[in-house]
Amino acid sequence: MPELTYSRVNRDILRTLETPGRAYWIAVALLAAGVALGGYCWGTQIQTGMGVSGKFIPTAWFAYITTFVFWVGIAHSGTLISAILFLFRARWRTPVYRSAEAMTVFAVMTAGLFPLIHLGRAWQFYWLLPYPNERQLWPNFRSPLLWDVFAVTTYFTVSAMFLYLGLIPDIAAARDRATGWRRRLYRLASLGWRGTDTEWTHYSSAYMFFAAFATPLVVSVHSVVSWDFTMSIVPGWHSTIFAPYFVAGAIHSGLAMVITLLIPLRRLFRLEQFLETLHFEQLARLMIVTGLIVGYAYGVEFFVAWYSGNPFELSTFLDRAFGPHGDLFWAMVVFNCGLPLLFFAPRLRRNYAVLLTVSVLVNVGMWLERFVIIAVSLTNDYLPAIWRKTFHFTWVEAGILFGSLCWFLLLFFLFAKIFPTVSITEVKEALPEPKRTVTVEGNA
Amino acid sequence: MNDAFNRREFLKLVTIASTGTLAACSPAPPQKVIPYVIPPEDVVPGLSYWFKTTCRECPAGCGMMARTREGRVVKVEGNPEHPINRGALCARGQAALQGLYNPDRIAGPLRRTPEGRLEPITWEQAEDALVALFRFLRQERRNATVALLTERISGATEKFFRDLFAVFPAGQVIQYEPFAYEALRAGNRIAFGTSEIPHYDIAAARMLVSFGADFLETWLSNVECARAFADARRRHERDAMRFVAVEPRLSLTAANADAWLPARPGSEAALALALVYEILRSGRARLSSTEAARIGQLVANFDAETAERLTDVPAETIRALAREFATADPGLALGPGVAASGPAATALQVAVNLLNYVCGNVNRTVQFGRGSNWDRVATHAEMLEFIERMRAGRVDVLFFHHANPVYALPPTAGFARALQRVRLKVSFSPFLDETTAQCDLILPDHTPLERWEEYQPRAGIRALVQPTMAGGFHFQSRQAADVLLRVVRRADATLSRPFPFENFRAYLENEWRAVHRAVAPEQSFAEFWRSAVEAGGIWREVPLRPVRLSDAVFRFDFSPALAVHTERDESFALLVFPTAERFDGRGANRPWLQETPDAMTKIVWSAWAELHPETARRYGVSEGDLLKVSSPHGEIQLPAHLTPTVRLDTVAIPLGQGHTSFGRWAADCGPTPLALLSADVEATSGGLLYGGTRVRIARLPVRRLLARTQLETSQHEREIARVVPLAELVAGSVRRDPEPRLSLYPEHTHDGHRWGMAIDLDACIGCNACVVACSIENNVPWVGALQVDRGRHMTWMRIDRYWEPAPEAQPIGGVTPLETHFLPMLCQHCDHAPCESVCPVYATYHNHEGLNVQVYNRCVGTRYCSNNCPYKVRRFHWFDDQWPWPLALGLNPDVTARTKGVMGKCTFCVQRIRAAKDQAKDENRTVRDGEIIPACAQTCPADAIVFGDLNDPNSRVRQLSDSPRGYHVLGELNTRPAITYLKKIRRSVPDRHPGEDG
Amino acid sequence: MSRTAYKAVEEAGVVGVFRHVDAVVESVRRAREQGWTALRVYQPVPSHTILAEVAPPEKSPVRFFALWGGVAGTVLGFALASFVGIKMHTYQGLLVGGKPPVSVPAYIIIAFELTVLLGALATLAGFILFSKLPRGENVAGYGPEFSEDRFGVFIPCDASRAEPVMALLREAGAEQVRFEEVYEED
Repeated sequence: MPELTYSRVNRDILRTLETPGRAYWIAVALLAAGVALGGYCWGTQIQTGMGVSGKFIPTAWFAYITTFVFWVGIAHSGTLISAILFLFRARWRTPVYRSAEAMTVFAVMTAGLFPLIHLGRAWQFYWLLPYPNERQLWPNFRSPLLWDVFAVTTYFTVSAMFLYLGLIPDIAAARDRATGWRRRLYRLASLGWRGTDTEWTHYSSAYMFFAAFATPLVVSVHSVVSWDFTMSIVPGWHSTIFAPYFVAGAIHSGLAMVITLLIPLRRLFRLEQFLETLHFEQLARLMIVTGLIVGYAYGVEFFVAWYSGNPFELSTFLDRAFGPHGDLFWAMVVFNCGLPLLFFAPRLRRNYAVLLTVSVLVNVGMWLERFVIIAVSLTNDYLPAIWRKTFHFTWVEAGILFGSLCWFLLLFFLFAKIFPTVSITEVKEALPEPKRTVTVEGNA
Repeated sequence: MNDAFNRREFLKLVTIASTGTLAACSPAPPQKVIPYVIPPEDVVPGLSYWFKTTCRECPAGCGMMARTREGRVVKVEGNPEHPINRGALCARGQAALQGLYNPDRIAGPLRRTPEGRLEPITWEQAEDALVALFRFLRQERRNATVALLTERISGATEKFFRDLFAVFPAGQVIQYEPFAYEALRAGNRIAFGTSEIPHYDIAAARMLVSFGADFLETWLSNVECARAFADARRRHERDAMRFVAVEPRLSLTAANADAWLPARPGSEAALALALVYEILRSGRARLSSTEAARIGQLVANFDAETAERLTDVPAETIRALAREFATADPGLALGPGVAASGPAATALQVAVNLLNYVCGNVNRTVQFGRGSNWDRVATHAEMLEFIERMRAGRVDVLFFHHANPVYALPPTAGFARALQRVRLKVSFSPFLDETTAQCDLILPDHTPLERWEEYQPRAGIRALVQPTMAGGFHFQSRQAADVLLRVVRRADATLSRPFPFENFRAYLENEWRAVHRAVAPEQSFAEFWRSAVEAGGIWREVPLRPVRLSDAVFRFDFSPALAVHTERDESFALLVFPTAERFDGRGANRPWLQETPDAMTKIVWSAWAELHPETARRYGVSEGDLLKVSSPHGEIQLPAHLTPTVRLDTVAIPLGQGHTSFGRWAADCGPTPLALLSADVEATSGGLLYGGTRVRIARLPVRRLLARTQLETSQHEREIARVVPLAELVAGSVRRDPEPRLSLYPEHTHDGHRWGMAIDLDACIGCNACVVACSIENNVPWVGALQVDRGRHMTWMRIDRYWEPAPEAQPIGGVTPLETHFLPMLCQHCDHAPCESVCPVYATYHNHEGLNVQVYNRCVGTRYCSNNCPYKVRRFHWFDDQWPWPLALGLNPDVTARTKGVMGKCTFCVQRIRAAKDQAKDENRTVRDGEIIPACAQTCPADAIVFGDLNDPNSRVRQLSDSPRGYHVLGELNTRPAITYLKKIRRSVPDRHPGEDG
Repeated sequence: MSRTAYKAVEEAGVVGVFRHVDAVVESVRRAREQGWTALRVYQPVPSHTILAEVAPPEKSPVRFFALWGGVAGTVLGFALASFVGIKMHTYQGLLVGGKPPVSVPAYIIIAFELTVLLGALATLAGFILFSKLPRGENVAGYGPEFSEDRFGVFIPCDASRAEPVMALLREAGAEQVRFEEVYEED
């Protein structure tokens, strides 16, 4: 355990902002290319029509909505770690929360694209917003899709502000050592923060309230997303456990994503003494919990389908597990509920290779979960006459999905080089205050 | 002997006239529609004008009305006054519009160049060529044989062509129909001494037995039959008709039967004779004992047991059926359709005649004197003769008039090859079909919607075909008769003496003077003619001409009925059947007929081979596998379709596809089974042997796209299409199924109108007419096989088809008889529509008259409404619709065309509601019941769909909705649909109820 | 000096640079005893020991912003949804799914989301307002070391009275003491 001092913390963390090497630029270039590809595919879709994607009747929602839910889910653990764990005073969150929070914001920015990509007439997206117009036309507040609009925009705004608030003192610290454009940028962004006592007082109080707002918000957002489905009458969608089930799932996938991002980050920016194995262990432990909750939800769905005696529900769930797409279902069960159980073994949850593989697979599994719920349920609803169970996943869809992943990573890469991905302030806070006399420690 | 002159001489005639320039002829279509600058007085923009005419999509001759807007036909409907179809039309009739506006029509006259290409010429040149030809034939080659090969024509039209070709010493007119009903004609000649095809009074029958007569699809006059069938079904439950279908494949017709007896192919005759035998044995025959005895001898060796051996139908079933049929008063048995036209076809028809005779149905439900005369339609044997003459080079000039023998005759008949020997071939076809493609001179005729004609579908009906819009609106076509008139006049003064007419219309009018004198001498001719044209013709009740059993029948040899292939081997019986959409193949170039799912298989845009899953398993064939079907006469390859609706020893293949030259939409839709048929004819009738061929199958390691709109066949005990047993209905013990009526929210009411619909599942025959009518009325696009396979078909209305094993029915020949349910599915316009509340932009809502409204302009395309519609009747526009010019001219101007990215669905034809309400407003009254008829209800031959105001206690729809048979599909979801379905009635046959002796 | 003499002094004072928290606390105590109440402390982290000493433990008014922002959101959200519902349903006759103009359960969600949104916005606004942000560069006595590991005690006073203050801070254990003044920017 090397002795950490305030100045050391400052140096080490700010060092991550130094001008990057070639590898970084190559990565950024590739990601940008990926984003461009996604853009091209979207253009094609707008030009030719939604038909270039794999959707059809009855499966009118497909990969896009799946990915939307996936990214919103990813966002959640960020807020969980930064807000909820803050309120619970979980000290171990300190070094990870900044990147988790950034991940939240970028995940929401990615998720936010998909409802637009998904629209048959994307160029009319603004009709979903309530704005006064001479035609006296307003959106329908009874539609879960509109709840989405509100939930997601709120979520984005709040978590962005939350992230920024936490950044202010760090930016100031960076400002005081930066030169050139960075200095100008930081000076602007730090709002002239000086770390005076008044500033700190209001800061702490504001931060506390943000945490307080973000906590119910994070629960509400994914509940609302889940209501997109529960509010409908599609067998396999219309279920009351979706809200908690989705929130748990969201956090599950989010934790996996945090690990997936932090392990390389730790290596890349040599943050070993801040991101200790302990922190990853905690995340892994949390994943066991969420994984079990998700597994429980899977079970309950089937139980209810059987217990309700509703033939439509039952047929849908039998089809889900044993139908033509059963393989997806079982894959999702293994990835989401099975693999996290490995973390019961300390040896495994301390092994970074295992951590990384499992969390990547959990991410895959969570995407599959949403796909199974959304697309597969639709293939098997009320009238057998319209059942149609073959999917045609098109290159346009693939391109857009890949593009969205690049977009997310690109944002994260850029962020990591401009703003500290580990909170300087909070790490310092975690250290013992420097005192003249050691005796003061005792009778404090 | 005319070997003296050769083909070149004739071709010269065609070319000499080609001195003129081609400037006058512009095949390039005018690409923009120019609006009226000075509107003609007689056309008010925005107003519809209706013209009555006659449908010529098949020989049935239904009355038709064409709705025109700004001088363009936008919709055709049945003529309500017409005795044949009484307002209904089938899918083919509805699609007539796509013949008129078909972009693949020939743009103008064509001529074969010496190099063998077809080149456009002007009409002047074309007519010059004909004039030259006529002169040549009159003056130099008087002994040249000139023939006209035409579709079935009658009345003045027939007279015209007969007279006109009589000007050539060796001229002749041959009427050719692929389905010429030779067996019916021969069978009637033998049994009753007349070859007339009688009028079968299906409506009056209490019991109907069909021996392979697909009378709901193509047989004789399908719309007329369907109407009568529905009427017979709708009679008060107890005396409602019961129907047994005998055929190896569950056709749409058989699917509507109360019992389907999948007898061995070709064994129908034996079954019919066994019925006669059993009826006579049980002494139920309604005839003198002497006659009974004579007939008894005739059918002596056709006892039930023999029949069982030949047909697979259990003897006791046969006996029970015999009892049923004999006691039915009256009953009706129907003879072979195309699919049953095998070597025993005539035997079958004779047997059917006997069956009707012994039960006293002849002169009651079998009405001679009111039927149709097909004598002048060539039998297949006669066609073969003619082909022989062609091959021998004894046909010099051959004109084709809407006949396509090159396609419709089996290759083994060798028509195409023989045609090479004809010196000059002229075609009047508006389409470049297989025959026309081989002609030297092509003078595109008008389509039926642009020309004048007279047609007599059956005795007592003189129907008029009149132009419903100006011909040559886009294609330089001219009516063949007009061209000939002009040519004759120019060719030779002496010739033209019998034809002193400007055009065919004048000729027709003149012909009708005689009719006028005969029918209505009291009124002035002008008046008579006007009223006739306005009514679409004239018709009157004709007396029935009683017939007696002729002695010929006792000399008839029934041995073909015994020659049934009963041994099990590796060969299969080939069952060739026509479909309601493509008929004999003439419907194949209409995109809507191609995309209309086949009633039973739900396949679109392709030919297929039906195999029983059992058979398929034996040969390791799975759905869509490419199958090699080979007969001694030929071989074809086409995708396999696995279905329990066909016998294990049978391979069923539809007619109508396999065009090599019939426009873009007829191309690449698989082969035609004609290639498998033999050249020989059915001995007695000279009919084409559609049946009786044995084939072998082999699976090829290739898969073919076989797009179907419906994949699942069972309703998984979900009680979607519900049934009520006849007994319960008679006992009056039927109660409506309970439905939840709870709601979290206060109920809403509809003051004024509340539009609703009632669909009688017992009447619906699943014929698809409504589907096509809806699509054409509402500008619904077609998307092609690939997109249909992807689940993107756009029809606002679809017919869901389910089947389950029929209750208390034993397998026959390994095939379980099935109970089929047809369920027309369209927007249910729910009171608590799930689609509405999930739309984020109010693009769909519930209007105050109970319509579920879709606002295309507001739709952003989230498709949530479709997910949330339990009936999945909403159709998303995945792409921009394609309307190749000039098909766009036929779009309904009252209905918005949708852009890509929006949702569309059934509107209950809101444009018609609007129109009716406006009119009512002008006449300041309220809308009358039955005034508003959506396209689907309008064209339904079975009158199964009724639309109206549910708030009006006396409206028909309200009456039906309150019926004890009424229920809502998925009513348990509490969506409160505006459409009430009436349960299908299950009538068990044989019907065992008290009072019937065992 | 002489060049800048023409500008008015905006703020002047003495700043002492400390390494240790308890030294800071002590210096603050002494300064207060000698009547230098209006002082401020620059710190790299919100040291609770210091804040307890300097900023008396009375709560920050930011919390009222949070409260009223939230309340405003609730009201606005429900009002907006209901207004639209009534407008579309009652006045334009757009009935959807047989639901009434004010479909309470659905609208609660909108109300909730706006509660959080406006609440959070108000909180941020409150924080910026009370912390007198954004602020320009001219802050007397600030130095980059305060964002790293040093604490600074700033006691505003004019040049004439600087001496005793500097002495005071040195005694309290300041590593370094300096007098600074910033001028109004023109």
